[in-house]
Amino acid sequence: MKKSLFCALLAAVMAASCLSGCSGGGEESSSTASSSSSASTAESSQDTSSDAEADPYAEHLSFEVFSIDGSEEMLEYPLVAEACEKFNMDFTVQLVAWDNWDDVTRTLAATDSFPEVIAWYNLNYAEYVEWAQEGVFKAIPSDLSAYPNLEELTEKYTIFDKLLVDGELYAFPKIKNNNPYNEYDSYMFAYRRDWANAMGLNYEPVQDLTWDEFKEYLYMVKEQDPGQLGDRLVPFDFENGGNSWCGFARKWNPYISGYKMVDGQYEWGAPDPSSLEAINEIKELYDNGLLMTDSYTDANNAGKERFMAGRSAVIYSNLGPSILQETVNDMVTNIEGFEEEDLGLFTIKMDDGKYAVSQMDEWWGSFAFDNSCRDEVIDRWLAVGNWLLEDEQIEKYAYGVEGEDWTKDADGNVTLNYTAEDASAGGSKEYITNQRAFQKFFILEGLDIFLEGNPNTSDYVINDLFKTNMERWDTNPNYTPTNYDINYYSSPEKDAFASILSGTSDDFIQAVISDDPEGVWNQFIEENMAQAEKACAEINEVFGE
Amino acid sequence: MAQNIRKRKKIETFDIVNVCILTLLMFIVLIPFYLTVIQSFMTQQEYIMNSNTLWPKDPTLGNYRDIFVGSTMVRSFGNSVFYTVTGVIFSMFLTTTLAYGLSRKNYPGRAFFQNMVIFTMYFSGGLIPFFLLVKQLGLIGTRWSIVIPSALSIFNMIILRNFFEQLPPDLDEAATLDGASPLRIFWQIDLPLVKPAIATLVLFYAVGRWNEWFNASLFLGNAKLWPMQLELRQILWSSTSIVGNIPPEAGRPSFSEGIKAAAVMVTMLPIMLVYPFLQRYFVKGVMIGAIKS
Amino acid sequence: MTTVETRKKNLGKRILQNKWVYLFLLPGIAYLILFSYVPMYGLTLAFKDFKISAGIFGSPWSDPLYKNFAKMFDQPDFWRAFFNTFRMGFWYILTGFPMPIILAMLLNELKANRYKKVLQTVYTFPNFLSWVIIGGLMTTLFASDGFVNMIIRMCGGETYNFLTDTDLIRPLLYASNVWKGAGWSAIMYLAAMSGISPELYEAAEVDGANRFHKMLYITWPGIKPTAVILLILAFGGIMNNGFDQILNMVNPVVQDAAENIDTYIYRKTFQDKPDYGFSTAMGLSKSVINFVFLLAANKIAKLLGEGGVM
Repeated sequence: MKKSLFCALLAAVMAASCLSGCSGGGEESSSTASSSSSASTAESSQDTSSDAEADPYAEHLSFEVFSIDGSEEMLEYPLVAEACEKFNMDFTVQLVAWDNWDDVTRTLAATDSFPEVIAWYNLNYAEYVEWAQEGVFKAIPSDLSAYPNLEELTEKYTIFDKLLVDGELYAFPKIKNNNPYNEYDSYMFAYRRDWANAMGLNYEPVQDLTWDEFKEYLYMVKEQDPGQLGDRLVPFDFENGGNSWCGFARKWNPYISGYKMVDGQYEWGAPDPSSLEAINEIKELYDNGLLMTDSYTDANNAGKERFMAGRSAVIYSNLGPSILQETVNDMVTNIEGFEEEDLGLFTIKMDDGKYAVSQMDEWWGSFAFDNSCRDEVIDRWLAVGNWLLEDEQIEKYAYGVEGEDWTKDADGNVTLNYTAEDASAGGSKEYITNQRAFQKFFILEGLDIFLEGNPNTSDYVINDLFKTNMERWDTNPNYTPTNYDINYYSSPEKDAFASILSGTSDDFIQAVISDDPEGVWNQFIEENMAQAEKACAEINEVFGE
Repeated sequence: MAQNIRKRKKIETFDIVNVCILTLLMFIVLIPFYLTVIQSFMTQQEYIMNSNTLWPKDPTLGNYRDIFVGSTMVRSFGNSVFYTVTGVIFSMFLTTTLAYGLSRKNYPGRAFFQNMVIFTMYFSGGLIPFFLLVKQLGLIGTRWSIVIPSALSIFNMIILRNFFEQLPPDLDEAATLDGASPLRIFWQIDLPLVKPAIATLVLFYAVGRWNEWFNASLFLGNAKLWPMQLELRQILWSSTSIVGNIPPEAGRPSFSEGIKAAAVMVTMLPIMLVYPFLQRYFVKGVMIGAIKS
Repeated sequence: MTTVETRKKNLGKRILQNKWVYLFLLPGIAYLILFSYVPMYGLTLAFKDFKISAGIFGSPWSDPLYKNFAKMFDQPDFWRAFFNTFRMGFWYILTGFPMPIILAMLLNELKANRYKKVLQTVYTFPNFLSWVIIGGLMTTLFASDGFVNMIIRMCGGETYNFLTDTDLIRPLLYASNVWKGAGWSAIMYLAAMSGISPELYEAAEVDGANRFHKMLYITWPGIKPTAVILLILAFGGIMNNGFDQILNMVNPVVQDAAENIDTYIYRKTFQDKPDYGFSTAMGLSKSVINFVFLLAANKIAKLLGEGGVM
């Protein structure tokens, strides 16, 4: 009796495994079958080509999109549904888990298994070039005049030229922060204005300070403890705690984890004496208890979270306009009695009397087309991207369905018919937040922040804080542009040195913590000088003067 | 009587020490674990402002709500149950048959098969050929891509083989003389004798399957088929803004540490509910009863 | 001549006699051939320069053939990380191997059955915490404003900065490894103990054996085969200890003190574009070393008259 049951079970398992083998190409798995099915639909497109001139979207297209954003419910969201109808298409999202995108994208690339559209891929430049050269992608048409909004982006941002491989663009970078003030990297100092007021300082929303005045302010906060936090108080914090120190050191040495041009030749930037100056400045803050003691263990923006919870007086953090707005909103909810105007920004002049600022990283991720992608799909996809960048569509993804979710009065002020909770995950208007993923296929963020009359942004945050800060920097910047040529140059020794450069932060922390900062730092320089010279030799062969 | 009295005296001396040691160990295990538990009931605000607390002032279910918001969690829970149940059955079938076969003595090729099996524990072709194989088998994008590949743990198999090898050989001989077929001996005599090991392996495989996410992330682009563990990881990631400078999505949960802790509890609970049922197989004397019958 | 013939004949006969053994082996062996041996051509990548467009078969052999292996030794400080791996590996075994046995033995001696089950369950809890969580717990416990320092201060001591102590990080790694895994691994020994006949204990009692005699002469021999196997397997994994754990538990200040070959190579190359040839060569070298350790441990076990894994 038992035996027969066991055998039946085994048979079932075996049968099931066989069945699954057969059904692999069937309805459940469209992921890998896309390339074969695409071939058949490509044939049918030939017949309709004459009609296509009359209506470019006459032929219905179905394709798959590999993405880190989006969901299978996505096609039901109003904006996505509208796009699908207008452009006579539908698509399925092949979702890659955040947790493992690196392994998955690389494996799919190495096994030629991408679906037709790749809405995102790894941002390792050397890898992008290799993939482009190895034929993983189909090039994006060089003539984008049919898609004026996309073409405008390619003209506005330098990054597009830098991503050309043998004269062709294989991935369309997603611009990170498209707004009128995106020249400068948006790492800024935010401070608790309510605490400054409590100490009797009548500071501006964007207060101008010198570095020494800033340090004095921190000592004062430490001494007076305006928030009455006792030993919970952190006078000055960084987004990622100690792991952000090295990035902050760029205020003294902008090339600390990169290459610096000296007399027409590139050198490793870290050995410059200004690195030690930065170490000593940060060490002074650390030793005097102005920084979070164990913050070198921080990860995942723990420092920023401390600030938003109300433990820190000042934070140095990425505060692009949408993040700044988000931060203020969160703090108003989190901290009792906290109001919008209780947050301010510092603009800090370094010892040369200038604001040390660097160029914004323009992009994060991109979309690309697999080598198997049909030309019609490329065309359709670009047309959708172009359409999404029109103001009308930007309003739709920012606010939802016009008339139903929001109305605009004669002055251009928008009124929303739902609450923030409705639009959050699980709320009745969840799609308003979720359909943004559709926009993120094309551009990352920032389009809606500067929309006129946007009820989601506050005048104080966007104008009084962000805009003022950016305009003040503009008056007297010590500007470090991003050297894309060097960053995106790939050669064996330079690539091997890349991890040492990104490991600079660890040695920087060790130096700050140590009793002998100079010794620790010099040892780091000495240990890696040989590799640095090899990398520089390769760079100078191409870029040296 | 005299014996009983003597026995009791011994209990007093040794057992008190033993109970003390084990209880102490329990606290060592429980205290950090407890911190994780209360973390799952805290708001970010409290966690940061008041981290050394033994009980949240204002306990919240917010972290759990953030996990269960929407229907994805229920769906992926169902998927995980399916992957675990079918996966454990398939794994146990492969493991018991192979372990039993390898535990037999004196058949030609024994050493060859032993070595061939152990070899796979150390040498594998890597991710790319593995992916291509699964792709060629047509499994990608199907539920079976989670059940079938990576089903056999050689480590577990060796443990079980070891249990089979320790069975007294005269048992099989006696049964053979009685005219029992090898399949019958396996199913009715040998397998019941290693019940504790079977229970252990079911537990090990079940936990392994329950926690599996890597293959799923590789083979399943359709989020409808995702197991719970992958879904949880996705929720965790979207609650942090770790990657570069990606702006956090509006309305997304933000206390990642709390969600992480809540995710542990959500993952653990189903396994912990099954565990007591398996525990009864670890009772002394399984063997003796079987031998007598 | 005749002996060979009879042997051949015997072989055929013996195969026939044991045909049902092969029936048992069939599913497992077939599975391993399909899922382990078929993809094994990927190992050739260790000697190739991988080109996506050419695939594994079409990719050119690297020049020189050992190029991918040489890259390993080119890393500065490679040998330090290499030997550190063994040092830490031995400590992982030394701490991680006996604890589950001791725990299972003590649990086995517990008379209160219900309490025993509760303890057994509780001990498995930490196994469900991932290293990310345990890494976070480390900070909660040992930070300068953490629990341990709070207790020290309450007792009138000075705050001690545990997290920057390079001598403390390795013991903390071993301890947390035991903390996480001991209760879980003890299950295997408890399973082995439940196979021991109670009659043996009863007979020993009649002979006047005390508790320690019984533990030593009945319980221990009952679980020894399992213990030996697990010890051999532990040696066979000496190169594989703690990658995930170390990455999650160390901070930049102490990371050099707890570096093994995996974490070292990860840190040295994670900014590079992926080099499949190199990572395959790395994996292959580690596997060979692990395998040698397994064979050695296996051999020693056999010489000592114990069973082995092969």
